[in-house]
Amino acid sequence: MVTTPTPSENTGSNQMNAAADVSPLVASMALPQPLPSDFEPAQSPTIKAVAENLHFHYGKFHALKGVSLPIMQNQITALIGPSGCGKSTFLRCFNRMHDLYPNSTYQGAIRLLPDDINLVGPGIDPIAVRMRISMVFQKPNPFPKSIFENVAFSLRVRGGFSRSEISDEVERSLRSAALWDETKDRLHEPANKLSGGQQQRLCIARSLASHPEIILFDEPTSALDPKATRRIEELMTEIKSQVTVLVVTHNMQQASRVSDYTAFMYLGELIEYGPTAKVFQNPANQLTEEYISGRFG
Amino acid sequence: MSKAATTPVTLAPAAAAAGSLRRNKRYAAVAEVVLFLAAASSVLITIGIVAVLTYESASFFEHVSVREFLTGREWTPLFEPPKFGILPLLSGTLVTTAVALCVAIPAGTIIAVWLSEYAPYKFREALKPALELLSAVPTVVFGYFALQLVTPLLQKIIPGLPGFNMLSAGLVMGVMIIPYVASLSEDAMRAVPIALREGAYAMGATRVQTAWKVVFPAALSGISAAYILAVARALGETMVVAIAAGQEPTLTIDPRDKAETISAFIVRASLGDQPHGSIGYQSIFAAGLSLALMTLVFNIAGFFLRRRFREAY
Amino acid sequence: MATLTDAHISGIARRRRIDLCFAVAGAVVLTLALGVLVALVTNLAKDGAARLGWDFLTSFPSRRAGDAGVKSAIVGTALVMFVTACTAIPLGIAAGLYLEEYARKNWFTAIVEINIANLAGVPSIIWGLMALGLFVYWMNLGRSILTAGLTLGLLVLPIVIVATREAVRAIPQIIREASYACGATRLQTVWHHILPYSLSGIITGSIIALSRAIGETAPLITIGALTYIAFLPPPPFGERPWHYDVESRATFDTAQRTQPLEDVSRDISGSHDSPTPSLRDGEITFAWRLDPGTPITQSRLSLPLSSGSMSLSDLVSAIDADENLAATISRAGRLRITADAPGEDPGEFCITNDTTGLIEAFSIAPGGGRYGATDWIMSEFTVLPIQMFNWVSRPDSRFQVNAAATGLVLLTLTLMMNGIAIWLRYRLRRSISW
Ligand SMILES: Nc1ncnc2c1ncn2[C@@H]1O[C@H](COP(=O)(O)OP(=O)(O)OP(=O)(O)O)[C@@H](O)[C@H]1O
Ligand SMILES: [Mg+2]
Repeated sequence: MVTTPTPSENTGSNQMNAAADVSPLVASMALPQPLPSDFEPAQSPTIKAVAENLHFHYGKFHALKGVSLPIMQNQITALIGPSGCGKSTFLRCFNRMHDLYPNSTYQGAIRLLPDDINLVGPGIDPIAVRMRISMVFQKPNPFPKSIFENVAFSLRVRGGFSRSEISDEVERSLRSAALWDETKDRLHEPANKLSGGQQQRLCIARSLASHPEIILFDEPTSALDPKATRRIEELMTEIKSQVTVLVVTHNMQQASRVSDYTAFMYLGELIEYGPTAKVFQNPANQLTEEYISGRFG
Repeated sequence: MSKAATTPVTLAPAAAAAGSLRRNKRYAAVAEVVLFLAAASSVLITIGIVAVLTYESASFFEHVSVREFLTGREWTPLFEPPKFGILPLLSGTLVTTAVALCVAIPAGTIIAVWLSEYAPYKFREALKPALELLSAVPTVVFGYFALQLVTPLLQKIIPGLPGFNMLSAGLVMGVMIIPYVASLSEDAMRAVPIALREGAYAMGATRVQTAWKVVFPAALSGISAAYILAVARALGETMVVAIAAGQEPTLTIDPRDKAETISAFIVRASLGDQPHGSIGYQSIFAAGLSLALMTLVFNIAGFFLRRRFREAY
Repeated sequence: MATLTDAHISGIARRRRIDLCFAVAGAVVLTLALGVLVALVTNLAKDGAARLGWDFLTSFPSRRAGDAGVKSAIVGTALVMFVTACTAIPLGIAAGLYLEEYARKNWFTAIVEINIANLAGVPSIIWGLMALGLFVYWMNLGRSILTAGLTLGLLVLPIVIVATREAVRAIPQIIREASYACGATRLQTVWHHILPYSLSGIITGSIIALSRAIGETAPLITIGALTYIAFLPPPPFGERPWHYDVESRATFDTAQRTQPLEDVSRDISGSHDSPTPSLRDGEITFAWRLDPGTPITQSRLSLPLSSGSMSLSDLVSAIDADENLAATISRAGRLRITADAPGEDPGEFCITNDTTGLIEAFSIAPGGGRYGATDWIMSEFTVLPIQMFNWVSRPDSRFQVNAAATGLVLLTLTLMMNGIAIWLRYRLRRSISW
C-alpha cells in the first residue's frame, strides 16, 4: 500500500491523496503532453488516436483524471495497472460504451487520426464511433446464434451487403482470427458449442469483420487456460498488421510478450507510458516499478 | 487507414454506410416511440377504468345519497321500490373473504415453509408446477365443484345447511387462493440469505425452529404482502360465489347463510341486461367502484410491502 | 453449561419429534391441496365424461339437455382467444421491452411500474365494467367478439408484460454490450438479440396468459355475452343467406305508448345495425324490449322464417317451447308478429309491441352477397365458461351433466396449456447457456 504524507486540499479520501501524491510524476512520461494539435510524427509508427486530458465521471465518481496518451497505429498498446485504476473505463471511452448507461460524462478528448475527430466530443454519434472501433470482452460473449451469424452480425448491422459479400467477409474474418480451419465445416452450428478459447477467437473474428480501425481488448484472456491464452496472444500479434490494438491486461508477462507500448495507470491517472521494453526494464516511476515487480496491485 | 492491403472484399463506400446508419437510427427512433406508447397504454387503461367507474357512479350518486348507499341495510336496485344500501353485499363479500382466508393463509403458509425449508430440491421442482396447475383451473369450474361436491358434503356435516351458502363458496375460494399465497410466501422465504439459516443451524436449532423463528420473521414483510394480495384476490373473486353462494343480498355474518357478494351482484345484474343509463345500470358501477377501491387499498399495500422486502435482500 | 445433560438430550429428541411432526403436517396439507385438484377433476369426469362425445362438441345449445352441445362456445372461445392473443401479446412484449431496454429511471417509469402491478391485481369483474362502459357503449363496439377479445387481452396484459420483462432481464448485459460494440442501434440489438433470446420465456408467459383468459367468465358476462347462441359467426367471405334493409322504425304507434320511441329504436338498432349473423339458416334473431314498467330485459328470439307467416299464438307457443324465452314471453304477451317467408319478392317482416309502439319493420330479400373478411369480429358470441355457467345455474340436473362435460373440455384446454408452459419453462432452464 502506498502511504501519502501530504494531504491535498480538494480531496477527502486516502485514495485520492495517493493520487495527488504521484501526479507530478506523470510529467516524466515518455511523450510530451498535451500533444500539439499539429502533431505529425516524422518517423514510423504514426499515431492512430490520442487521448488528451481525458476525464470521465460515473455520476459523481471521478474515474479518469486527465489521461493523455497516444495510441500508435498498427501497434499493440497495453494498459496495465492495479484493479480499479480505470483501465476498463479508459478503454470503453474509445468506443463510447459508457453511453449505454446514464450519468456518464466525458471531458477532454480522444482524437482519432488522421481525420482528427474527437471520439468523445459532443455531436459525435456513438454508433458511428463503434462502427470504426470494435471491442473484445473479458468473458467470451458470442451471441447464442450460429458461428456464421456471429461474424456476420456487424455486417448485417451496417446493411447493404450482398449474401456473397457477407460470406466472403465471414471467411476472411475467421481466417484472420485463425478459426477458419476449425469451423469451416460447421459454420451453422451454435457458437456456444465452441470451447472457451475458440469462442474468444470467434469474438475477435466478429470484431474484425467490420474492418475496424482499432480493436479494444479488455482482459481478453483472463477467462482462458494458458494454451488458449497463447493462441489469442499470437492472434493479436498477427492482426496488428490490419488494425491498431489497445489491450487491458493483468498479466505482466502478457503485456511484455505482446505489446509494443505499455501504459501504467493508477487511481484514474496515467503514471507512465513508453515502449514496452523501456517500461518493463527501466521504469521511470517508482510506482510502476513496484507494480511490475509485483509488490502491490 | 489501416485496412489490410490483402482485403479481398471492398466495404460499401463510406457515404452509403453513413446513409444506412441514418436510416437505422430513424427506424430506431420510430421503434422507441412505438414501444413507449405500448408502455404508456397501461396508464391509459387505468385511466379508462377509473373514468368509467367514476363517471357512471357519479350519475348513480345523483339519485342515491352516499349516506343511503353506505348505511342502508337493503339492496334491491333492480326491483320496485329500489333500495340502495350496500351493506348486505359488503357483508357477503367480507364473510366469504374471511372464510377463504381461514383456509388459504394457514395452508398456504405451511406449504410455503414446507417447500422452502423441508422439501428436497426434486420434490419442490415437481410440486410447484402441480400447485400452479391448481391455480390454473378456471373459476367457473371451481364454482361447479363448490356447488356439486362441496356443498352436499358439508350438508352431511352441518344439518340444515342450505343448498346455496357462503361457507362452501368461501372454502373453495380459499383452496383456489392457496397456490397464490404459497408461491408468493415461498419466494419471500427463499430470498432470505442462506447465511441466516446456517447461523441458526449452527446454534443447534432444528428445522422447525429455523423455519419459524428465523426464516419466517426475516421474510415477514414478503409474507404479509402475500397475505394482503390474497385478501385482494378473495374480495374480487366472482364466479365461485356467483354459483355457490346464492344470489340474494342478505345482511348476515353467518357463513352458513346464502348471500351475495358485490361481484356476484354485478354478474346477476349483467345477466339481466340493464339498459344503458338506467339506475340499475349505474348501480352496477357504484358497486364496482366500491369493490375496486377495496381491492386497490390492499393491492397498493401489497405492492409496497413486496418492494420493501425485495430491497431488504 | 459445559456438558449435555439428559434433559438436553431428551430436549433434542423432543425437538426432533416436533420437527418430524411439522414435516408430516406440511406434506399432508400439500397433499390435501393437490387432492382437491384430483377430486375436482374426478368429480367433473364422473359427472360429465359420459356426456362428452362428438355430438356434444358439434351441436348447438338446445333447450333439451340431451341434444345440447358446445359448438358455438368452442368456436366463440377460439375466436375470442385469437383476438385476445393479438391484443395482449404484441402490446405486452412491446411494453415489457420498453420498460427493460429503453426506460430511464424516472417518475414516469415508476408510475408505469406501480400501475402494472396494480392492474395485475384488478379483479376481473372490474375489467368487465370497464369494457361495458368503454367498449360497448362509448366506442360502440357492441357485445362482440372484438369487445370480448380486447377486454381479456387487456386483462392478461400484465402477465405478458411481467413474463417479457423477466425473460429479457435474464439476458446477460455482456450480450447487449457485444451487440452495441458491433455498432448496432438499440432497435437492432432488440430485434436481433433481445427478442430472439427471450422468446421462449415470452411464449411461456403468453401461453399462461391465454390459459388464464380462456377460463375468464365474469368480465364477459358483464359485457353481455350471450348464454344461448345457435349460430356461428359469419365466416370471412362466406355467403350471406339473407339481406335485409331496415325500412322504417316508426310505422306503428299506439295510445298506450309509455316510452319515447327513440329509446326503443336505439335499443333495437343496437343489435341490428351491427353486421350481425342474424339472418342465417332460415332464422332471424332479433332483440326486443319489454314493458318498461317491469324490469327491462332484452332478449333474442329465433324465428323460423321458412314457416311462413306466423300468428301470435303460434309464435307464443313456439317461444314457449323454447325455454330460453319462456320467462320473457309471458311478460310480453301482447307481441304481435307478422312474417312473410322470403321469396322472390322481398317480404315484409314486422314486429311490434303493443305496449311500447313499434319495434321494428324491415324487409328481407334472399341472397345478400358475401360477408366481409372481418364481419365475424363484430358478431355476438358465447364462450365455454359462459356456456358452463349458464348450465350450472339451471336447477335441472340434466343440465348439470352438460355443465360438467363443458367443464371437462375447459379444464382439458387450460391444463394442457399450462402443461405446455411448464414444460417449456423446464426445457428453457435446462438449455440456458449464458
Ligand atoms: N458503472 C460504474 N459506476 C460507478 N463506478 C464505477 C463503475 N464502473 C467502474 N467504476 C469504478 O471506476 C473505477 C475504475 O473501474 P475500472 O472498471 O475501469 O477498473 P479496472 O482498472 O478495469 O479494474 P479491473 O482490473 O478490476 O478490471 C473503479 O474504482 C470502479 O469502482
Ligand atoms: Mg476492468
